[in-house]
Amino acid sequence: MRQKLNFLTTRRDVLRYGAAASSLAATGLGPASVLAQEGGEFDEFKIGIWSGVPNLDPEQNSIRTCIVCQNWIFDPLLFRDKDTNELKPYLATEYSYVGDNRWRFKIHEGVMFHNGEPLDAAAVKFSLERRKSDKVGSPFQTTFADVLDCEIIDDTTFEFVCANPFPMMPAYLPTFSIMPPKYYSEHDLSYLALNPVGSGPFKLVEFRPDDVVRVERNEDYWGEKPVIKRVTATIVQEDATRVASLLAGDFNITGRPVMEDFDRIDANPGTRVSATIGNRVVFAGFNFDMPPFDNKLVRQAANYAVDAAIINEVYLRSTGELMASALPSTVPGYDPAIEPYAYDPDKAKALLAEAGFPDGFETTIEVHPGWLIAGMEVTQAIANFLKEVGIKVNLVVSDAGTMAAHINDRTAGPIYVQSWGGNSTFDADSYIQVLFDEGSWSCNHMPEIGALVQAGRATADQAERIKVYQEACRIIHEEAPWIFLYLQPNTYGVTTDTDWEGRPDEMIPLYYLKKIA
Amino acid sequence: MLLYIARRLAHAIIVVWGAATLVFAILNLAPGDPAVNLVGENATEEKFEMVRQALGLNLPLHERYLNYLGDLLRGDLGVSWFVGQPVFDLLMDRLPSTIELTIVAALLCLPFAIVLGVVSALFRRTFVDFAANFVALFGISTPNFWLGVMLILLFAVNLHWLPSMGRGPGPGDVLAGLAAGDVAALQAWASHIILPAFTLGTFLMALVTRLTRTDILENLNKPYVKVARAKGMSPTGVITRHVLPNSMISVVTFIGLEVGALLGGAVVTESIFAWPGLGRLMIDSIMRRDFPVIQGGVLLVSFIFVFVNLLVDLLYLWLDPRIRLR
Repeated sequence: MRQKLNFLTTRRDVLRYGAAASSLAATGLGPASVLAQEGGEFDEFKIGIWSGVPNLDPEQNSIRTCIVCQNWIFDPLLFRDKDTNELKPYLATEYSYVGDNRWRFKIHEGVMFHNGEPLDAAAVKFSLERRKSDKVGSPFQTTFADVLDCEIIDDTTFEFVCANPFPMMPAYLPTFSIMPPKYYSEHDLSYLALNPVGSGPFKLVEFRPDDVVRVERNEDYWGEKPVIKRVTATIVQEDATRVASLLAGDFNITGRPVMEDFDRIDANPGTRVSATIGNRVVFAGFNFDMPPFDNKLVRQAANYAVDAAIINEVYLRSTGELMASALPSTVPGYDPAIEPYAYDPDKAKALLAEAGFPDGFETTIEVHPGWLIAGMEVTQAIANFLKEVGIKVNLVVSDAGTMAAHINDRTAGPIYVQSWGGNSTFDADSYIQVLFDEGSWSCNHMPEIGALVQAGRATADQAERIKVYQEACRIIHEEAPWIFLYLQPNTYGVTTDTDWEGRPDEMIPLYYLKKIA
Repeated sequence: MLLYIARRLAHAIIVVWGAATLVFAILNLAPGDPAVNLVGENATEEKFEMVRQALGLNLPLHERYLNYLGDLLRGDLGVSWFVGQPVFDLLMDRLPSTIELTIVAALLCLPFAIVLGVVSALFRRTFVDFAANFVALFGISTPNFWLGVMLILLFAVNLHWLPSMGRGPGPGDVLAGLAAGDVAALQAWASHIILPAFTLGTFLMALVTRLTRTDILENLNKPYVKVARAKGMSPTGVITRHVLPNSMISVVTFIGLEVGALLGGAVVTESIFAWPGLGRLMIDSIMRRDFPVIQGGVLLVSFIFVFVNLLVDLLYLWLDPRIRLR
C-alpha cells in the first residue's frame, strides 16, 4: 500500500525535505535547482479551481479559493516556506516581537503596486485600517480585533501595536494582503470586488465571478520573476470534469481530485498526483449539552468503537494522518507522544456498561457531507462502527448553513461530523480556542481548556506556548470531546512538466513554480 | 388579440408575484443562518449581529417581505452578498450564455428529432421505426451527468478533438471575426459549445421524437387525411401540408415548456461543462445562501417561463386557424 502512495508527503517528509533544503542551501543549490532542470517558460498556465471564486477583494471574503487567487495578485508580509511550511519573511525583510505588545516589521524598499503607488509602511497601515473598518466589514475584522494600530517608524519600518502580546500575529499574516491606499480609497466595494490591484507577481487581466480568473505576469515584479506569462484559472466544481480536463491537457494543475481518480491520473502519461498532509482535522464532535455525551466514559467508548484507521484506508486510501487529539502534526503544539485511541470494541462495550448503558442507546449523528472528503461514506462508517457496540445511530444530513448554525447554537448532533482548517494559520490557538469550551464552533464545556487558551495568548514566547498547547492536547485526548479521526490531505493533479507540489496551507503560489524540460 | 395578450400579461404578473413570494418564504423560513457563511470562521457573536443588521436579517419576517416587495416594485433586485455586484447585472451577465446554449441545443436536436419522429411514424413497425425508438429510448434514459462525462472522456480525453469544458468566444467575437474573414473564433466557439449543447439537447430530442411519432400516427388515421388522399393529393403533400401542421400543436407546446425550463437553468449540463450560465449561478448562490441572487434568479426564470408560454400560445394562432376563429 505504501508503495502505491508515493505521492503522499508526510510531515516527516516535509521536515526531511526541509533539512535537505537547508544543507543544499549551504552549498548554494536550492531544492528547485536540483529537482527541476531549466525548462523555460509557460506561455499559458491553466488551473482548475474546485470551488467558487465570487470576489477578489481580500477584505470582502474569507473563501479559501478566493484567497488562492488573491495570492497571485497581492503580496503578504510573511509567507509559508514551500519545503518546511515555516513562516518566512516575504514583503517583510525581518520581524520580531519587541515587547510592550508590539511587533516590529521592516519591509523591502522600492516595491511598487501594479498601479504605480509605492508599497511602504503607510500602505501597511492603510491595509490594517481597512481590515478593521466597520464600513468594509471584513470577515477577518474579528481576528485582528487585538491589533490596535500600526505605528509608522519610517517608510519601510512599522510596529503593530496590540492589546496583548498577540502571539498569533505572524500566523495571520500570510493572508493579510497589502493594498494601495489611494486606489482602495477611491473606489467603492462593488468595483473593488472585481478589480483588485496589488503588488504581487501577477496582474489581473479578467475576472468573471465564479467562472474565470485571468492574470498576466507582472514584468516589473520586485521579487523573482515567475516562469509563467499568463494564468487562466477556471472554476470547475464538478469533480469528474476537473480530472478529465487535466487528463485532456486542459489544466496544468487541478485542485482536489477525488481519491478514486488517483490511479487514473498517475497512469496517464503527462500527469501525476501531488498530495500532502494539510491542516484540516476531521472529527465527530459530541454535544455535551445532550446526554449521555456529558459522560466521559461514553465519549471514550465511542472512540474505542470507531476504527479510524480503516476509514482512512478505505475512503482516503491512507492519505490521511490519524489524530490522537485536537492539533494536526503540522501545527506547533502537536504532541507526538499522545497515541490515537486503539480500535477495541470490547473495551468500548465495557466502558458503556460502566457508564450505565450495557445495552447501548439510540442517538443521532449530523453531517454536512461537503465539509470533508467522502463525507457521507465516512459518517455512515462511523454509524456502523457505533452500532457494533450497541449505539444505534440515526443519520441527519444538513446543508452547510444549517449545520453551522446548529454548531454555533450548540444544538448540533448530539454527534456531529465536522472538519476544521484553523483558518490556515497553523497556530494552535486557531484550533483550541475555536473548537473547545466557549469557542464559536464548540458544543462542549471544558473550562480547563478555556484557561489554557488564555495562558497561550498571554505570551509571545513560542516555546512556552507549545508547552501550554501540549498540555491542552493531553486533556482533550483524555476527555474525548470528539471521536478523533484524521488529518485530511490536500490533493492536486499536476502535469509532469510542472515542478510544483501541493502545500499544507492549500495555497497555489506560482512565483516559485518551475517548468521541467 | 390585444385584449388576449393583456389578459395573459396580467396572469403573468400574478405568477411572477407568486414565485417571488414562494421563494422568499422558502429561503427565510428554512433553518440555518445565512450570516454564518458570510462572517468567516472565527467570528464573534457581535460580528454575526453586525452582519445580520447590515443585511436586514434581524427584522421581523413581514417587514423583510414588505421591503423585498417594495424593492421589486422599484426594479431593485438588490446586491449579491458574496459577489458584491447588483443582482440584475449578475443575471444579465449569465443569461446570454444560457440562451446561447439553449438555442444551439434546440437547433442541433429539434430538426433531427422531428424528422426522426415523422420517419418513424411513416415507417411504423419497420427497422427504421425500431432504430428511431432505440435512439429515443437511449436519449430519455441517459442522464445528462453521465452522458456529459462520457462525451468529455471520448472527445476531449481520448480523441483530443474538443475542449473538455468552458465557454469559447462570445457570439459578438465570432461575428467580428467572420466580418474580418477570420474563422478561428467561430471554430473555438463551435468546439466549446458542441458537447454541452448535444448533452442538453439529447433528452429534448428523444422526447420530441416520441411525441412527433405519436401525433403523426394519430393524425394519419383521421378522416381529413382520407379526404385529402381521395382528392388525389400526393402522399408527401398530405404529410407536409396537413398531417405535419396538425401534429405540431402539441409538439410546439411541449418544446415551449421544455425550452422555458432549459432557459431557467440547465443546471446539470452547465455544472459538468463549467458553462457560465444561469443554472450554475443559481447553484452557487443556493450553496452559499446568497438570498438576493436566488430571489432575483427565480424571478427571472419565472418571467422567462411565462413569456415563453405566451409565445407558444401566440404560435397556436398561427398553427391552428380554428383557435383564431374562436
